[in-house]
Amino acid sequence: MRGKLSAAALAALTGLVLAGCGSSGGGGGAGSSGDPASVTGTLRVVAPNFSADNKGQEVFQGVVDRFHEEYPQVEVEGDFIPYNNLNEKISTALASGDNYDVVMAGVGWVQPLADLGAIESLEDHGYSVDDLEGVPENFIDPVMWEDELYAVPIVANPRLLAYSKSAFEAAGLDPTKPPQSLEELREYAKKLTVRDASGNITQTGFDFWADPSNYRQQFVAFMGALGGREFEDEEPGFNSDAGREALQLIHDMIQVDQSSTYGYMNSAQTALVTTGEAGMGFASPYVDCSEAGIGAKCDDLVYFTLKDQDEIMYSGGRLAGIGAGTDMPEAAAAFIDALRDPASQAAISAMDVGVPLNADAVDPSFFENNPAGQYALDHLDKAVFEYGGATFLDFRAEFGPALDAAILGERPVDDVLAELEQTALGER
Amino acid sequence: MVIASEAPAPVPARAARRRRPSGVERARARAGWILLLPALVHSAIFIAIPALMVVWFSFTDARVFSGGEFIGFENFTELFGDRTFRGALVHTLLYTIAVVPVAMAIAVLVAVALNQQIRARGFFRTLFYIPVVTATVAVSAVWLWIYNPSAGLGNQVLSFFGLSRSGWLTDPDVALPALMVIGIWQSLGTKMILYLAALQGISPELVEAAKLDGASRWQVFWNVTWPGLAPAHFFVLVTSIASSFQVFDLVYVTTGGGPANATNVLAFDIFTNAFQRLQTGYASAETVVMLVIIAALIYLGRLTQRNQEV
Repeated sequence: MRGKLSAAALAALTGLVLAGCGSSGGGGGAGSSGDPASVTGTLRVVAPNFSADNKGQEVFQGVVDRFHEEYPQVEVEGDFIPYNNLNEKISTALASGDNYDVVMAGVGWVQPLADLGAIESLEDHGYSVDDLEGVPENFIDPVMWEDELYAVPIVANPRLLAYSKSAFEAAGLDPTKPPQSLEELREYAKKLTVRDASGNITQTGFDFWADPSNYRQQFVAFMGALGGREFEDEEPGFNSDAGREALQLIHDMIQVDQSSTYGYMNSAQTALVTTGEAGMGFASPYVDCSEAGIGAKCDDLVYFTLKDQDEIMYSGGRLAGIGAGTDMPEAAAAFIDALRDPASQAAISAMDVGVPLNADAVDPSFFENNPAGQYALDHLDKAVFEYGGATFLDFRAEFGPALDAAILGERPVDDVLAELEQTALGER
Repeated sequence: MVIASEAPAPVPARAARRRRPSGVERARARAGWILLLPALVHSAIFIAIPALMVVWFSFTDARVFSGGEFIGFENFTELFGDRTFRGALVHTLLYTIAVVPVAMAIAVLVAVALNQQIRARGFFRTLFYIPVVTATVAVSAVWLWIYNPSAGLGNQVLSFFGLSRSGWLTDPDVALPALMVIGIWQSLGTKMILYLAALQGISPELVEAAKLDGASRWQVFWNVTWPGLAPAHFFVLVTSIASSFQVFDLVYVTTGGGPANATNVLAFDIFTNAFQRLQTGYASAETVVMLVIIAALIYLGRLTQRNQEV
């Protein structure tokens, strides 16, 4: 019995160690230099938020087809995962010595992955910041590490703010005047909240469009409007008056005013304001206003930015870099170029609620029936991000649950932000 | 009745040690080792070596793919000052304390009921076992629907009785108990089958004798059936504690440890530290602590069993 028990207990350890016992380096294929058309091998690509359904595969295949115009004999092996699984995918790939050749990731990943040695400097492969012409200037810093370029922005994934004109009218608000300050936003949200006789919310006043443990981006957006930034020059900036005020406001809207239900999302996980379930809230930067999409409902939606201390729009983004130790750096770079192709950007944006960064090159038809995309594009220069140096992934894992503790009133706002600051500084 | 037999002539110990095994015995031993070899290799590669490496890593500051440097007990010191770890430990203990005894009690009742000559007995046995053979992800999907705050069955039932809706998985006070319910439901089948097997091992003659002596149904259960289940209790207890401490997939799929870490349990916290924060050394230390706690609990269970044997 003792042996069996020991084995059972030790089995729990196995997975963990297997991740830790490998060596670094390695590459994805048996490529060779020379004429791209004659190169053979397999290019491994980790592709977060490329859905495994027909739509996602079609978009990915489009990118692969563009890549094959230059490298027709290189097989592309995609690994399709949600962003939440990206860390474990990359860490296990690194630990097993079989790193990806192309790493797609979000804004916050680039600097920690560069620091870890999981991705290579693109400047070693002929890229420079000058190649990012057309990309808004504020998107450059997140892809730099120690003054070198480590990734290329592909598309932006902003979270817009939107309201329903009809809900405004029903609440006695002027539908031509969006809230400007966070104080106004809170008051409007209260007025827009509709309850039934039992007190249950039938129309959310303000939808944060977040599930539990995922109020990070909303916090960054509110803090940004108050003039604060999550990190500045890799130093944490959230434990500030702006940060405390923003977090307190989210807590008050959810716990005091109850104009928003904590962690509530509809089954399709779409923004409630676009489905008519909320009067106002965060919304996607891609909306299909054709009959195949939400149709006439689009006419009821108005997009806006907060203009409190700063006018800002929160944005994430899809970036791509070359995996450390790849055997096929030239092919990896060609795949990144295929991702940056305007047609790829448009397709990825439609699939993953984004907006192309290389907007000048994108077919204008992308923005037809997509007013959210046009609004997001026009405000990319106002984007604030969630990123901050080498410890960001460590910090990110703690960030969401810690914010929840303050939002739900389990812990004081000041304590939460002070403790998070210690984590960000690597002191915890 | 004890049958006395003639004792064999004593063999001097030294002579016994010196006696060389016969050719047949040696061949059997060789065959045994050969047959055991695949399992030994598997155990060495996938259990023993990784386990030893976890212990080593727990004393280092290793990150994802770096071996790290030896830092002594620093990880362990840091662990016990870590609010998240302490919370995870408490949640795991609460989960275990709630799920293991409740599920064991229900399983005994169900097993006793399904050990009777009732109609559709096989069907009910299968029904209770289905959650065990169903993937946790599928089980979780069903329970996510039940716990859906707007359209879920849970809140519809509450509404039927005029009660206000509950944020089953979004209320920090409710989320862990909500997962305990799933844990009890899902683990019932395994325990039920083990108890059923134990019940069928209890001598019908003993039950019959007790009845002939005028024992009531409760007296038969308490004085005959319950003691007969003692070995099963121990086995079920030990395996249940181990599996409760390792609960991961349920948390991963339903709550992700939230809200506000209210359902963060040890296995999930280890995963977060290892694969989200990429702190291999720290996660290894946490794993070692978990192993020690499980071992201690199992040892306590064994002590209880020894007392019963005496």
